Amino acid sequence: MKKIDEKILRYFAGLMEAEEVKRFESQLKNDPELKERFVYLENRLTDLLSVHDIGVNDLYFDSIVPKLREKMTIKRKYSILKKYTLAIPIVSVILILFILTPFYDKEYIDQPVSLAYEIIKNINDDEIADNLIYDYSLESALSFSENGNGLELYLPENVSLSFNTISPYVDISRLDYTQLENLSNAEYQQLYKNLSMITFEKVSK
Amino acid sequence: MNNFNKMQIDNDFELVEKFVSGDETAFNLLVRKYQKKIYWHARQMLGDHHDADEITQEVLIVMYNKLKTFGFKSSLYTWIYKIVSTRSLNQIRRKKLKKLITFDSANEKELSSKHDIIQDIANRDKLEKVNNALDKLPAKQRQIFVMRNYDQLSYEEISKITGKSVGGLKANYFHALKKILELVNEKD
Repeated sequence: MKKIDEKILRYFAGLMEAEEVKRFESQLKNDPELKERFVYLENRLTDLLSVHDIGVNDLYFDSIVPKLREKMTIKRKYSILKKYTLAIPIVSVILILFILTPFYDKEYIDQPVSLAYEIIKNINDDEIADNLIYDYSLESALSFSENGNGLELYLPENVSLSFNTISPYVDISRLDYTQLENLSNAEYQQLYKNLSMITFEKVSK
Repeated sequence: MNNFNKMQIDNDFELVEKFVSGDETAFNLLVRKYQKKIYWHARQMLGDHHDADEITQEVLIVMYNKLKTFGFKSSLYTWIYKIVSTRSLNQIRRKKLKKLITFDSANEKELSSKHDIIQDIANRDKLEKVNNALDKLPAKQRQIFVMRNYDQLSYEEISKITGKSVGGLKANYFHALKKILELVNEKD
C-alpha cells in the first residue's frame, strides 16, 4: 500500500491528532494528487458500504415475532421436561433410601436386642458378674465420678446409671474405686441384671 | 444527548417496564424496534442469512429472559449490541472450528442462499463480494468495521459495547480499512 494511502486511511480512521488533521485538510485542498487518491479511496469505501441499503424481503422480519414465540414455547416445554428428567432419578434415589432406611434401623436394633437377650437368658448371673468384672477389667469397665447428684457410675456401651439406681444393690460405703473388689457376687449380679435391663430398654427405644 | 436519543431511551424504558410488569405486547414492540439492527449486525458479521437468523433468534430469546434483570445501567441499545456482537464473534469461532472438522460448507451455503431474504441476485452477489473481503479480516477487526460503517456507531459507543479503548479501536479500524481496500484492489 502506498504511503499516501496510509495517510488517507489514518485520516478516515480518526488516528490523526487535531494539528495533523488541520495540516492534512489544507494539503488536501492544495495537492491534486492527494485529492485524487482521497476521492478514489472514499469511493471504494462508499461502494463497499452501499450494500447496507439493499432491499430485503420484509416478510422475514414480519415473521420473527411469531417464530420467536413458537420457539420459546418449545423451549419452555423442553425445560419442563428437563426438570422432570432430573427429578425422576432424584425422586427414585430418595424413594430407595426411604425404603431401605427402616431395614437398616431394624438390623441395627435387632442385633443389640438379640445380644441383650443372649446375655440375659443364656448367661447365668455368676458368669455375667465374672465376665463383667474380669474380662472387661473392672477398672475400665466401671468407673465412678462425682456430679451434682452425687456419685455416678459409668459403664460400657455408654450406659450410665445414677447413684440412686444402684444404691439399693450395693453398699454405698464400699463404693469407691479401690474398694470395688469388695462387692459381693450377689451385688454384682444384681447390678449387671439391672444394667442389662437398662441396656435393653435403651436399645429397644 | 440529543432529543432523539433521549426519546428513544425514554421509550425503551417505558417498554421494558411494561414488559417486566407482564405486558407481552411491549416485548413484541421491542422486537420490532430492534430486530433489523440485530439481524443486519449479525449478517454483516457472519455473512450468511442462516447464521444471522440463528443469532437474531438467540439474541431475542436472551432479551426476553434477561430483560427482567436489566437495570438500565447502559442504554438498551448498547446492551443489545453487546449481546449480538458477542454472540456473532462466538459464532465466527464456532464456524472456523466447524470448517476445520467438516468440508461440506458448499451445501450449507446453498441452503442459506435459498432462504436468503435478499431476493435480488445482483444485490446478493454484491453482498457476498463484501463478505468475502470481510471474511479475511480477524474477527475483532471485522466487528469494528461493521459497527463503524454499517451500524454507524461512534468510537465512544463501540468502546462501551466492546470494552476496548477508543485509541485501540481506531488503530484496529485503520488496519481493517487497510486490509479491506487491499483485498478489493487485488480483486480488481
